Amino acid sequence: MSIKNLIKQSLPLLILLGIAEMFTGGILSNMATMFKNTPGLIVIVPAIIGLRGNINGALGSRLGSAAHLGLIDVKKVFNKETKENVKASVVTSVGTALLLGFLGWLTSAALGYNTNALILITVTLIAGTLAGLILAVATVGIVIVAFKRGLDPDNITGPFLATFGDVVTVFCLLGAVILVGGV
Amino acid sequence: MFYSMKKILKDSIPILTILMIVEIFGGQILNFHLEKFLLLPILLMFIPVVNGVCGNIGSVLGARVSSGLHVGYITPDFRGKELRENVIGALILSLLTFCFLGCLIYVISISFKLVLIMMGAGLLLTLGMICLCIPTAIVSFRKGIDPDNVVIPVLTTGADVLGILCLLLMIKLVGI
Repeated sequence: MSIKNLIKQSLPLLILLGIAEMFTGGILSNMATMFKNTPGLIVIVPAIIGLRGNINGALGSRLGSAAHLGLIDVKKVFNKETKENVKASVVTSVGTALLLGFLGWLTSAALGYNTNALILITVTLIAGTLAGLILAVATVGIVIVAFKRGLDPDNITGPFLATFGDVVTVFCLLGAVILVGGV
Repeated sequence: MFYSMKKILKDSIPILTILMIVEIFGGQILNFHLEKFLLLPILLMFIPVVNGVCGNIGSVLGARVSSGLHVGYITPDFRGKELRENVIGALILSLLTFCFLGCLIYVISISFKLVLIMMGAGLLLTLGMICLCIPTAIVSFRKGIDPDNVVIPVLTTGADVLGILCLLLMIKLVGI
């Protein structure tokens, strides 16, 4: 494929992604005081964004393969196979969130920062679980919509999660910090 | 049933754990330089923009190079017209995207310095992505591992850590 085709097909999506990431970044810059008042909170930001994209990206990819394998059909997308996939994705989200909170605290404490383990683990657990649930449901929703319109889910879930996954995750992080009471 | 939760967890937990450790490393770098970001919180905005956009340019390049290696029109020897065209394509994509985003940043901040920091970090990271992508794809292909399974996780995770470093370097070069 020529350079011209590559640019024509990828540039619009990349610009859309860039704009969505500016919203994500906008939430982060508004959280500046929270980062100041909750030592160690910034540590988990790249990881929680990266994990969410990877966990749900894998879910979307598996559901796409399941569609191609004929394991889920148009009329009944939310069947046993889909449920098992979503369950695995949510369990992974909760498990990695717990581990992330713990590792974030451990490395910060080891480096001499005054980090509150309970706050950090609670924040990552709430944010990770919430974002994981929302994005898992959204991923299934996209597979259903793609199916109904006769599109290949493999072509849709990846770019969708790349564009909206980070915004949703950071928004959940903001919500979790407010809920836990760190302002 | 084709899928089982146990199998999915067994397959994904090890790679996710490695990814998490690398990302925490990036997070600790941010933590160490937190004061710079608190001084000018809009700099926090650049982190997902630079990492996200470059991670995706890297993913596109990685997927294309992987396909090229599979089909055979890219040879695993770091040479050839196809490979060069893909690299140039990635650079042009990055340049155009960051020019557009740079204009948006200028509208928001009316600061040429901030535009320079973001565009510089983005272009620098794109070069980093290229330097990470081609060897990862070619080496995994030579070893008989499907580059499709390796390149994208390596690039998106690499983008997050290298992106933070590129941003810090540009902040240092341009000054705030």
